Amino acid sequence: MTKRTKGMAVLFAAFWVCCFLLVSNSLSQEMPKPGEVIDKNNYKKYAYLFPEEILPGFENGFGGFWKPFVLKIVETKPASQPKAFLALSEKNRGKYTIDKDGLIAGGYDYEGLPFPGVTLDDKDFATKFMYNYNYRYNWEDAAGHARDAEKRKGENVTSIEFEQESICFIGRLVTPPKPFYKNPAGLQFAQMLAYTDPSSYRGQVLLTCKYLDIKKSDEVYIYLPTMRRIIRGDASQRSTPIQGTTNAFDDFNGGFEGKVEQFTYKFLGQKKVMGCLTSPFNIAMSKKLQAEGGGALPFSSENWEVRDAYVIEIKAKDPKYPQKTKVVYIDKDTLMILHASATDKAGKPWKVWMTNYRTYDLPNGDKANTNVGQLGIDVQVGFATFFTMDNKMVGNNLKYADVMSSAMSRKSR
Amino acid sequence: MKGGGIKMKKAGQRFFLAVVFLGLMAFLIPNYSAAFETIKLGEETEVTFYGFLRNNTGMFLQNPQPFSQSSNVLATERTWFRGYTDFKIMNELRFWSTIQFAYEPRYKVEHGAKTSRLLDPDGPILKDGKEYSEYKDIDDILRETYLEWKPAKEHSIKIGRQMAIWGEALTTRVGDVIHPEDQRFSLAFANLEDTRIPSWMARGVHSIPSIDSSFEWIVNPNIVQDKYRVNRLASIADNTLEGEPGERFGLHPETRFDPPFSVTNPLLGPPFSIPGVAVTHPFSRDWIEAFPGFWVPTAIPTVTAKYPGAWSGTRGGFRTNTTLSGWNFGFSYFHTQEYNPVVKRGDLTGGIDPDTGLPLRQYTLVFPNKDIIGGYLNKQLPWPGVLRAEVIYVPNQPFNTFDTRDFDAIVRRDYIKYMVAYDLNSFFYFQWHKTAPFDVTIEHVGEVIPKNKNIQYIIYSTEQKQWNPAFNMRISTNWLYNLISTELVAGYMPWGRSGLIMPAVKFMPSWFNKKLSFELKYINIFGKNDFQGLGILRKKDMVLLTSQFDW
Repeated sequence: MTKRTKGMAVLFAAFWVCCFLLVSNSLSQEMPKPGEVIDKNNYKKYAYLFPEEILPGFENGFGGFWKPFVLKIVETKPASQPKAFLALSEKNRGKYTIDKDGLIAGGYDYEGLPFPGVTLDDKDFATKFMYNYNYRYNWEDAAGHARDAEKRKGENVTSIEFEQESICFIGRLVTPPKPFYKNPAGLQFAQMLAYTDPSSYRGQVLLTCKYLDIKKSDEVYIYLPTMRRIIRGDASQRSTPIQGTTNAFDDFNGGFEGKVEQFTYKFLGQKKVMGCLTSPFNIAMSKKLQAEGGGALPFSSENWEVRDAYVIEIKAKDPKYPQKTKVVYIDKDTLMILHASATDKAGKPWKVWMTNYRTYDLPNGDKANTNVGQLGIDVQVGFATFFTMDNKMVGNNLKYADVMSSAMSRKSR
Repeated sequence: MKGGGIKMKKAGQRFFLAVVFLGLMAFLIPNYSAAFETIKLGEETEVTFYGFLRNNTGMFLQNPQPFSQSSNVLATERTWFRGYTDFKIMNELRFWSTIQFAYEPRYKVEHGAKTSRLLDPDGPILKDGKEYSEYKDIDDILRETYLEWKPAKEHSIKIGRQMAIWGEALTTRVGDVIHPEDQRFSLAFANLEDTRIPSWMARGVHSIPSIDSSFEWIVNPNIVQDKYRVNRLASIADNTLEGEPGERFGLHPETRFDPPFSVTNPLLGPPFSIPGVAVTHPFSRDWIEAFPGFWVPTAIPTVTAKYPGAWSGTRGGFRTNTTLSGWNFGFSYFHTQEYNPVVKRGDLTGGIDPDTGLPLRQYTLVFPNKDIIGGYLNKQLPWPGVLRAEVIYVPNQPFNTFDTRDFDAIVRRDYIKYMVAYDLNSFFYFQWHKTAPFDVTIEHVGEVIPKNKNIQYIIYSTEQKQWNPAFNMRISTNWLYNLISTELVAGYMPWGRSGLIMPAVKFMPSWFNKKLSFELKYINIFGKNDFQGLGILRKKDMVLLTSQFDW
């Protein structure tokens, strides 16, 4: 054989080896069956159902922050944004576009998704999809308790607890005024967090307000019991960690709650991932698992299912933004972020999130989803959290007066 | 023997109570979650108990302290126990109380000082530490207790002993005018919260959502013991015959011979005066130069204090708050009294001082009425940062005057205090410190007395500035997600080239779910002299360790 022939043979062989590997990989992408468990022993078999950044959780719980992850698989059930909300969105179909500044053009009235039915062949698909995400049916009002279990590498698990009240002023389906709750400040959303534990934090109150006018800066107010005053915070605090947690406000709701126009978006593809939309997790379980965990953070193993997700890469337009990129895995049907990860400004892996949701019934017979548990870890510093919420969704009779800054002192002392 | 037995018995009781208390704390406090879980008593009814045990240990760095009784460097050894009760009776009704006990020992450094009843010659001498300990007086122990009635979401009315803080300044007080201060046990600027003296008041806050506004009103009768109605001041080294040192946090005495505003007779020396400590204005008005270089008094002061009346001195006012186009602003009015005493020179009483044979002259420490009109605002700027500003205008601020034509030595002048601040939170955020940004606050505070001629600065033979600007700055961050917090507060006042530097580091480990914390703070006060700006406290540098257990 000549050298050339040998070379051809090697290339030919290499081609077939590659083909074989690809096919075998494809063949191996079988879906886990209901009742099956994904854990340390078999997670590699299903590794393609997770972002790469989450896999160390199965191996050793990210170096001991959790017990190695165990996911109990259930059958995938249909889920979506509430049907009435999708119906409300239909009037917006094909009505709006994205302008050169990345804003919605055409006079969007905040009722329903601005881009219902946006398809992958749309050149602005990623941005339009993220606007849909931003204006998805959130909830109308929510009130309840939240708990953040935290662990610094090598230390005990600690926890912070607080009460939260939030109002979404747009896209309301069942609670009057609907679908838009007109308010003098022109708010889209407001949330008040009042810390209750530990006692060193008790009495602190945090109010965040997001305006309908997308160009208007968010606002943050802080009430410190030691000062007994409401202090105007800096809205750019949305990008820096909230006291004692890995999460900034921009990292909320599964990993991304930033202002849409302040970021650019790139569609990376579609992917089947494991998600949890019917989690039974609550604060009592969080406390119980922490107590039994032997120094590990709580983790919700129940009701994981295979979901179809869009993978979107997010970059901040602000060059000072602390994260270089964030990648989110958003459920195609419910518009909930199932997984997310972020790199630091140098591009090194920094933060990882994985979120559990539960499904709740709306009085109109619809169903909606809400966040009940979020795992977050700063893999560089070695600090991890598991955030849990027990909220009553809808029917809390929350008014604008409940989220005025003057209401903050009434939450404290 | 009997007395000794009683002492032993009391000491034993205290020890026993301390052991029981610590035992209860250890038994009751779980180590991973809330100290005391909220107790549910019904669908709407619940009660929560929490609080802290705190110790402040401070050491003076200058040894000996000027005008002190010994070279002991213990600056403070204060231990607090504070308990909060938050009792939600129903959604519309809530009861709140704060009880506090504090213990401080007798300080060798101020042995022999008068109590903080400023210039009261009949005041008892400190001897057993009870001056600072709080355990038997209801006005000390019952720090707060009020009922809050919320007839609707928009309305809240609190009745009882409470604290209401107004204003925007973080490093000092401008619009925060409601409560007097207890300045005896700490440098007030280093502990703005705990030095406030709470007040009995009715207070309402009414939100008006339709115009994004709220209205707050306060009615505050002085139904506390008289000493709690005004600032409680640490006594200053005295020039009376006893030659008393000052309390630890008392101001530097006037030591300059600057007749007629500060006089002494250096030729006589002790026991007629503490060397270097002068008689201050307006008491100095009764001294004359009998012979060249020889100053003598012509009358002996008899000093009393006239505190604001319980009901006649009722304080009150209102404050508005409005949010409009991103601006948060409001106006305030408060009628109150001057909380620092102003010395009113009176007539000769007709009496004779038995020691000197000189006539007695009446001097009264008065706390005149005044009205405080204020305004404030804050705004998230279009670029990074938050603007905060506030101003108060007092049209009838009482001052002591050097103008000897004014017999009672008190005049009223316009007084303005303002603050402009810029907060840059989260702007300084670095790759090498990802867990938190550096928060920076810069505050400019100014005091203006348009007609400042002859206006006396506290006790000194120093005329107040027409414009007295100060510049304060605070830089803070935390490390490893709040394991360690660091802070630097610095202030500079061109007047007297004075200011302060306060770096602090706080350690909050995960033990007991962050219930335990330790803060080490260094307080440095500088100035070119002892009589201007902050220089009046410049020799009180200290390190302060605060250990706190939150339960």
